[in-house]
Amino acid sequence: MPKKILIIDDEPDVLLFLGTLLRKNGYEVCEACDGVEGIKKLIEEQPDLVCLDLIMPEKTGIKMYREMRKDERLQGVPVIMVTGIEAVDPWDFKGFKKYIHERSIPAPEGYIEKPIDKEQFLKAVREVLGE
Amino acid sequence: MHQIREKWTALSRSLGFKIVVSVSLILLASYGVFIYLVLDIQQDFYFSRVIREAERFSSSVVKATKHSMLSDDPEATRSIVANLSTQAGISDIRVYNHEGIVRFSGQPIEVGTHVDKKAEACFACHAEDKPFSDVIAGRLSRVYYHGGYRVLGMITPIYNEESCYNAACHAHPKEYKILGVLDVGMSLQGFDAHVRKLVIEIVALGLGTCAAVLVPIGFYVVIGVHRPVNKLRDATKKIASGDFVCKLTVDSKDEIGECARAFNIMRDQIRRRTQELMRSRGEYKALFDQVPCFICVINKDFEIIRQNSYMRDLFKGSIGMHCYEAFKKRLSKCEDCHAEDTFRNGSPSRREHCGLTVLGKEANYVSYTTPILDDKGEVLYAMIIAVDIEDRVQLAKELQVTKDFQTNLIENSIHGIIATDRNGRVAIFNRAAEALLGRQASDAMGDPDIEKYFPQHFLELILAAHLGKPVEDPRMIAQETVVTSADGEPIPVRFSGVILFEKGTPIGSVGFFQDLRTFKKLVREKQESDRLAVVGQTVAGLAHGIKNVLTGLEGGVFVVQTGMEDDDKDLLERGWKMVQTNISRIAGLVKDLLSYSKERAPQYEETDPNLLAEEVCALFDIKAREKSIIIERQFDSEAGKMFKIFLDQRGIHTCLSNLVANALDACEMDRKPVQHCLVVRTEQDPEGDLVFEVSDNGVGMDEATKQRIFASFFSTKGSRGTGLGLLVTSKIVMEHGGKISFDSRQGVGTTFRISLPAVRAVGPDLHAGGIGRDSLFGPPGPRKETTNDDGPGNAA
Repeated sequence: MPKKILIIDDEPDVLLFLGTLLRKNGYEVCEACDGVEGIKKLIEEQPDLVCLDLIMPEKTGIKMYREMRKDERLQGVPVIMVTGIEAVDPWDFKGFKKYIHERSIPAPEGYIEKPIDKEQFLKAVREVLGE
Repeated sequence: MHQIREKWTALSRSLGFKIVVSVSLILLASYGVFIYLVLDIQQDFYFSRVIREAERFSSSVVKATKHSMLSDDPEATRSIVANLSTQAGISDIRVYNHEGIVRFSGQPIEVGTHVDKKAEACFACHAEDKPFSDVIAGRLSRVYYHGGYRVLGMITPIYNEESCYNAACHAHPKEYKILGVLDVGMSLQGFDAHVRKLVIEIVALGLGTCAAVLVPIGFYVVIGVHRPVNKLRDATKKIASGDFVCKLTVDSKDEIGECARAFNIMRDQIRRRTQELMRSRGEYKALFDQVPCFICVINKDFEIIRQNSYMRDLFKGSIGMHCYEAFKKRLSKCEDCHAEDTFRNGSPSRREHCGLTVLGKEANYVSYTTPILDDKGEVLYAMIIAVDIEDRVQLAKELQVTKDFQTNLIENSIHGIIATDRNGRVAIFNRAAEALLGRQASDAMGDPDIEKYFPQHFLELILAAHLGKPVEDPRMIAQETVVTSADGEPIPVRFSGVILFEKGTPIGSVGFFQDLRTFKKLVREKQESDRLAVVGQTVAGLAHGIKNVLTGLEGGVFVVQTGMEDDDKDLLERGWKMVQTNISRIAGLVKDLLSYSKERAPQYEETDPNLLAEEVCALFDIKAREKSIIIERQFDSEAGKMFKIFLDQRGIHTCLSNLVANALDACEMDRKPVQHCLVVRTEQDPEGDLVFEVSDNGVGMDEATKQRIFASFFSTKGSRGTGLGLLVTSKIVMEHGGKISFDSRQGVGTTFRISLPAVRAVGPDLHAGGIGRDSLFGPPGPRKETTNDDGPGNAA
């Protein structure tokens, strides 16, 4: 049974690209365009992995990640954080790591920096899923 | 007995007693003399009477016996003599012949006896043991004692008269002048008794008179002199013993009364003076004890004989201790002892000392010594008055420290400091000033030619201050200027200067020179560095943007490829659209980049702002409708009618397009279940300034986003934005001399406002950018007006 991966990103192009890539590689993909929808899909779809964009409208990836890690039902789902490069976006990995460290939130299982390299992304997904 | 003696002594010393005794003695002496003289006169008088009586009696005897003598009848003569000698008061009667033989006597036994011619009775007439020779002269009477009482002997010569030497009875030679003498002795017993009685009476009278005079005098002396004088004496003694209460009753107007009145006045004055003296003494004592300086009196051996409490407390000196022991805890006299000078010269002296208190702390004091002289004007003691100057010394030390600190500060300041005194001469010229101006402080100090050192404007301030002209601000603060070094090198400095005043009078000036040569060099280097950093950042951001687009393209190509492989037409279309989007995005990026990077002067041309805004709105209408967003126009119909409006149409079009695109994105990102709309507004104020506003009710921005929206390559749209839109917009607005501002609340919406100043003149220069416009706004640049809430949003 193919592993199910939830992609949460506010950019339709990213959703299309990553969705196509993962499906082509045999994964089942479900998508959400913001954090609110992401939480909903997470509960509904019970994915094996979440690819979460850090910066999004409504509920940002940071808030969503924090809720996930607080929720007993969801805290076991591995997460790959996706974000822009350092010093360009308001939130980069450095800021995110500081944020979770200050609040003693467990770190995500993987990081992927935009722009996303296909092979690097698939490698990270496989590593997290233990394949 | 003792008391009696004392009283007598007191009495004998009293003035009244002496007066009485003196008067008594004088009076008695006077009476004595008087009585003596009176008695003498009386005695002489009576005695002369007795002598006359004796003479008469003798003459009577001679005459009585003459006849019997002539008749040579001795018996008759003897009988006469005998009878007469029995008469009362007659002691004896004798008749001597020429040879001195008693021929007749009242006492027959004496007849025939020879008289001693050397005897007293005879010696008056018989100078030698010879018979009478001539007439007897001189004293013929004598007084002698016989039978216990005095007898007056009267000698009467019997002269050889003619009848005698012619008588027939016997022949007396004619050459005899004196035939013999009659010696009659008359008793003075009665006379003496009378005289004695007289003496007694006169003396009694004298004594009585004396007593009558002395008693009233004595009484007066006792009442009028002795008692008042005693009172005066007693009162004087009381005053002498310090009793000022007694007051003499003045009941007479004589000298003693005056004396008593004067005494009372004197008593009052003495009492007042004494009270003043006591008060002064008390004050002096209090002053001596309480005065806030230590005072002591020392003798020539430097031993303390008196000290005040201040000194006692501070040095714990005691009477008899040497002053150097007390003050300095030493065993011998100080080498610089100035009390010794006072003892030697008798003049005051002064010196500063550092002593040791009883606690072992240093006590700085200034000591004044003053001589205390005796009656002969020799220095007996020296009074040391020492004033504690610990505070002053401390202050002086602190002042010195402060001065040293300030001197160090001035000397070691990295900025040049030059100060002038009230005469306009250089008074401070520190090392930094030496280094800056290439002049030596030794040459500059005292130099009146301050034009060499200060910038012109400051020199004018100094001149104005010295001429008393009103100066608005006697300071120059951090003004960049250029001074010339000794070598003529112009040196950029930041100069601060101030004119120093004291009560309105200039007392000098001081200038601070910050050498800007290094700073200017650093500024140039920093500008270069910043430029390189901007280039680097721009390149990085650009690379990121391009990489995003390339990733998008790559992703699009991958999706297209997958669609073709899977023959999935829908996937193919979506992939192709993705490719198209990314191609248009890279075109937009290049366009924005060109707009931002190129220095472009606005191309002003007369413009209808409403038309321009409408063009932009129309451009986005279709896209907005697709997303169910309404674009509302609120155009100022009067805009451009009062004043013609000149704009760079292309530039402002770009600005409005960016703002409307951002607003649409903000609405699109917003998940609120409301009708999203954006409002495009134009407005021209009465002064001709033009305002474009674009408002939306989209997501709004959080604080972090607000801080960064004008930063290059910042975007809230991820790979969809270039991060250059607002940067380009702000650059174009700045080029117009306008300003861009915004107001945003997260979850409520955002309003961007572009204000453009009125362009008053038009001409060929407009196109060159050097227009004669009058900007009513501040320096061009973005400014955030208000911030209310957080939220991401409108940055493109």
